[in-house]
Amino acid sequence: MKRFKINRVKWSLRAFSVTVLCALLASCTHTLTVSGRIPTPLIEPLPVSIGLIRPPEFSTHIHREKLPRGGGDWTIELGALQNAFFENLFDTVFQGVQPVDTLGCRAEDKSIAVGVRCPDGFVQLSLLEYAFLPPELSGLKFFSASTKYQLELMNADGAVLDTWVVVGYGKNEGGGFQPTDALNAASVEAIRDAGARVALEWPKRRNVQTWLDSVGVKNDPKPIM
Amino acid sequence: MIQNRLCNRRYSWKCVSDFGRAATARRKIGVLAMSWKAGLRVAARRVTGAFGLVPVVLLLLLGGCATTRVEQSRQTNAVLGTGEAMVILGRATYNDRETEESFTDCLADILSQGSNPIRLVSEDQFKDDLYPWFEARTAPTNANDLGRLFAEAGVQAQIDQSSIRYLAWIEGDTVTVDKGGSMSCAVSTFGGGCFGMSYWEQDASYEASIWDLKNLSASGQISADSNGTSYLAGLVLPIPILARPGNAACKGLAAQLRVFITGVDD
Repeated sequence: MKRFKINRVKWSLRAFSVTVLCALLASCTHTLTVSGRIPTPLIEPLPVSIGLIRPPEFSTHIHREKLPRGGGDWTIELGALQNAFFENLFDTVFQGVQPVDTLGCRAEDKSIAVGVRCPDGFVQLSLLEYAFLPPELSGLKFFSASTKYQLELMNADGAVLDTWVVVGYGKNEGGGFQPTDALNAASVEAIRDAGARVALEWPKRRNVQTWLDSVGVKNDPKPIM
Repeated sequence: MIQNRLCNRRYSWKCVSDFGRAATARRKIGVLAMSWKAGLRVAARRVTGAFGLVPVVLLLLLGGCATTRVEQSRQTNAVLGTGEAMVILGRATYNDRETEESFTDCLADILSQGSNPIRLVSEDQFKDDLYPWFEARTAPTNANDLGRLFAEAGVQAQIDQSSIRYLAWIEGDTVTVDKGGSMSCAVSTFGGGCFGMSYWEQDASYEASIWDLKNLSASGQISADSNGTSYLAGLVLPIPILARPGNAACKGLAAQLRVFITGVDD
C-alpha cells in the first residue's frame, strides 16, 4: 500500500514536470492566422478590364521563422487574408477583373472562358517577402511588419509593360502577454498600406498611364496627399 | 489655460485657473511646474537617506500626483449640431514615437459618456469607410488638404452619410524623462521581501487638432501637458504609488475637447 502511494507521488511529480516543460516549450512557439477587416476602397474604378494572375501559394502563404536570442518559433498564416484583401481591392480599382491562371488570350490558352471578352491587360500579383520584428529585437515598444509585393502589368499579348515592387509597413504596440494580437494588427496594417499604395500610386506610374492611353482611357493623375 | 492637479483617489484636489490664451502664460506655468517636480525629487532623495520609513510613506502619498496644463486656441465658434458626430484619430507616424491607442480609446470613452455625450464614429469604422484616404501614409497632414481630398469620388458623400462634423487628430505620447533609486527583492527559506525605493518621472504631452469637415477648415487646437513622478517603495512588500500622467492628460484634454466641440461643460 505504502509503495503504491510512493509510486503515485512519483508519477504525479513526473506528470507535473512534463506539463511544465510542455508549457515552457509552447510559450516559445507562436502560431498566428492573420485576420482582419477587409475595407472596400473609396475610389473611382479604372474603366478597363484585367486578368488577375496570382501564384497558387499566394492564398496559402505561411511564413515560418525562428527568431534569434530566444525570440521563439513563429508560424504566420498570411495567405488567406492577403488573397481576400487584394481580390476585393482589384475588384474596386478596375471595372472588370477576371481571376486567371495564365496570361494570354490566344485560342490555345484555356485561362479565359469561351465567350468571355479578352481583358485589356493582365496583372500578376505576387508576394516577394514578408518580414516582422518584435520589440525584443528592435528595442522599440511595438511590433512591426512589412509586406513586399510585385505587380507586373502585361498587355493582352503577354508582353511585360511595367514591373513595380511595393512595400507596405505596419506597426502595433507590442503587448507582452498578447504578442500574436500585436503582430496580427501590424501585419494587417502592412497589407492595408501596400493596398493603399496599389490603389493610389500604381495607376499614376508612367508605364501604366501609357497602357491606359493605349486602351483608350483618359486618366488624369492627381497628386497624392 | 487650465491647470489641474490630479492625484490618487483619497488625496485628490483640483484647482482651475484661467490664465488666458497667451503663449507667455504657458512659459510661466512651465517654470512653476518644473520647480515643483525637481523639488519633490530632491526631497525624496533626502528623506529616504536621512529620516526613515514614516516620512517616506507620507511623501509617497503626496507623490502620486500629476500636474496637467491644458491650453486651447480657437479659430471658429461653430459647435456640434444635433445628430452630428465627431471622429478621434491617432496620428500615425513611421518613427519610433506614436500616439498610444490606449490614449485615443480613453478620450473616446470619456467623450461618449457623461451627461453631455458626444456621438463618436470609431476610428476603425472611419478608416474602413474612407479607405485608402486615412491610412498612415495617405492621411491629410493639414486642413488645407481637405479640399483636395473631398474632391475625390465618394469622399464627401461618405462623410455626409455618417454626419461627421469634426475630426480630431491626436498627436503626442508619454515618455519617461527621469528615473532613479534602487530596490532589491530576495526570497529565502525563512521568507522574503523587497527593500529600497525607485522612482520614475513621466511626461505626457498631447495635442488635438480639430478640423471642421463642413467648412473644410481647421477649427483650433487643444494641448494637454502632464507630468508626474511615480514611486515604488519596498517595505517588505513592494508598494507602488503611481502618478499616471497619461491618464491625467487624457482627462484634461477630454474635458476641454467637450467644451470646444459642444460649447457645454459636462
